[in-house]
Amino acid sequence: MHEYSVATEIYEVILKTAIKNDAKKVTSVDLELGELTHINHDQLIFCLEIMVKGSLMEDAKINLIVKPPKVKCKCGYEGVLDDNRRLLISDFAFSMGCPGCGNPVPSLISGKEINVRNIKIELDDYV
Amino acid sequence: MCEIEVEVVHDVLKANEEIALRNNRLLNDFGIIAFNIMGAIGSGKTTLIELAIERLSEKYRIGVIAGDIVADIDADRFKRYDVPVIAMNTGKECHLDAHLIENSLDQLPLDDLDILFIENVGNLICPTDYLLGEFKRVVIVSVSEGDDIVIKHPMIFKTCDLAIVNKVDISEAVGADADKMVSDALRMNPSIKAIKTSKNIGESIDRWIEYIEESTDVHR
Repeated sequence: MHEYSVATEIYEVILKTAIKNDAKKVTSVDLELGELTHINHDQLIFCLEIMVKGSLMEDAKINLIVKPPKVKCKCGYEGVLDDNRRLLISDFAFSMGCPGCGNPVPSLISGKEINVRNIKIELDDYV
Repeated sequence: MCEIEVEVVHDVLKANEEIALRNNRLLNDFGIIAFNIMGAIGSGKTTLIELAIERLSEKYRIGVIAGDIVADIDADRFKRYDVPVIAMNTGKECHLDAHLIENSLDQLPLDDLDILFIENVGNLICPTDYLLGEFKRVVIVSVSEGDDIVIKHPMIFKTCDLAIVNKVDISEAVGADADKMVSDALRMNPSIKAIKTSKNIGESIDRWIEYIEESTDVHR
């Protein structure tokens, strides 16, 4: 629902970084998106593609890195929820129990990112 | 022409969380407890806040931030109780974020408040991702939304401290099982507190009021 405003923030951050580094253009963007955010990935990319027209990042390739939910538990388990649990994503509140001990509320350490990790930019060659 | 890689590391939600943390510290410095009241359109958020003001305004100094696409309508309802109210119009946005709250806090008399109610935009999805700086997160659903509403929106229940199943006096008329909604909330989040309310059943509102009192007294 708020994909457009999230896309705006992503766009502004990239543009600011590009300008600060004297970029001629942005060629690629690595964007991490957690599976548990309430963001529709396709819609977000769609908004970005529309937004970048005519800008430094018009031709940038957006590399989407989907981050699965990762938990840390009192029992010592630290890792990604296993596939059986993740398959139940529409029901994920039930399925987020610790794969190690079954504790229903391990801490979530990853899976809620909307993170611009890095960008590749083109610079003018120094003569 | 040469190509270089530049590290950015800007997480949109983390950036919001940092402002939320700042809001939280500011409120804490003034000894104010803030409740983030979330729920669907028509679940009863405004009414439950009004009832809390009616019952508690002699005991505590209360302020309200009313967030909505057009917030003035709810804000006018709160102003009748003669409490400080900020109408936070979000325009097209489907949720409040920490930055909007930071702006609202600038306009509130923080020295003269014990409790701040933040009424979020009517929506069970987007507000889940955005912390505001609150101390307690409350989600309100009404039986008229259907008794499967809780399992359809697991994430908001996972992140809340209190779940209120509201309008229970009309459960039968709308064919909803309020007890199922309560047990679903507890299954989603075993550490959540869940209560059933209706503005027409005074005792049920007592549970809501007690929750606010207990939370506020612990916070102090």
